[in-house]
Amino acid sequence: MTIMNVFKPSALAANLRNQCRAGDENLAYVQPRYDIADEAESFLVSADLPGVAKQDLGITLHDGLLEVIGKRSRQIPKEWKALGEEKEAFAYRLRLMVGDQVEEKNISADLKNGVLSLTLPKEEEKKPRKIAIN
Amino acid sequence: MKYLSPFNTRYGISPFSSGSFSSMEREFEKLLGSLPSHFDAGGECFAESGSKSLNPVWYEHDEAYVVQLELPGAESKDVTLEVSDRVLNLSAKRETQSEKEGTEGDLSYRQSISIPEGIDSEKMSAEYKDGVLSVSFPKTEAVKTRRIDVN
Repeated sequence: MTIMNVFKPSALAANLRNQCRAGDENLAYVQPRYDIADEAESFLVSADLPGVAKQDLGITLHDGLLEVIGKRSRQIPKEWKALGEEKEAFAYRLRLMVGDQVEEKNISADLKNGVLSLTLPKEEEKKPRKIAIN
Repeated sequence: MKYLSPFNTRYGISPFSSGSFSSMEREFEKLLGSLPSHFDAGGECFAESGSKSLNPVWYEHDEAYVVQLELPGAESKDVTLEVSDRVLNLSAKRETQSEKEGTEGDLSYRQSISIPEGIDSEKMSAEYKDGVLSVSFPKTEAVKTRRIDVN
C-alpha cells in the first residue's frame, strides 16, 4: 500500500488536500519556515508566522506531539480591493515530535514581530555535564 | 535518540541525532519542505512560505494603493524605506535569536517596488505589525475616484 502511494503521487495528493481542508473553518495549512537550535540548556525553536496575531495562535502538546497553529489574518477593510490574486486565508501549522529529553511542563513561547520562539528546556539528567577529575 | 524532530520526517534518522549529518538532514528538510509533499501522509498541502519571497500583496481603495510585505523577525526601527525615481527600496535587518553562526542568509530583507502612477510620494506612509509591513501610496487628487451624484 505504501509502495503504491509513492508511485501514485497525484492520487495521494488529492487525498491529502481533502484531509487538510477538513480542519476548522476550512483553512488550508502551510508549514512555516522554522529552525531548531540545540543549546546547552534547551532547544530553541523559531518559526516565521508573519501576520499572525497572538490571539490567533494556538500551541498544544499532546502525547509528545507539539502542534503550533497560527491563523493568518489580513484584516483588510471592506472597501479595499485586492489587485492581482489575493491569497486565500490559511493557517500556519508546525508539528514537531517532542521526545523524552524535554521537560514538557516548562516549555515556554513568545511571539514577537511575526516570529514564534519556543524554548524547550532539557531534562536535568540529559544536560551535558562536566565531570570533575580527582 | 529521537528527541525533537519534525513530525513528518521522511527519514529513518532523526535530523537531530548526530553532529555533521544533522545539518545536511535539515537542509534536505528545508528543501523538501518547500515542495508539496506527496509522499507522506503527515505532510502539508501548501508550503509557499518556504521561499524567501516577501509575498507582496497589493490592495487599492479610494484614497491609496497599499502593499503588504512579510518581514518576520524585523524590528520596525530596522526597516528602511527609500524612494528614488519611482522605485521604493526596502531593506530590513532581521534579528536572530540564537548566536550560532551560519545563518547569514536570513539576516536581511531587500526588495524594490515600483511606485504606481499618480502617487503623492510626499505622503507615503508605512506601518509594521506582527511581522507584516504595510506601505500606503496615497493617490493624487487627479487619480482619486470621484463619485458623481446623479440628480
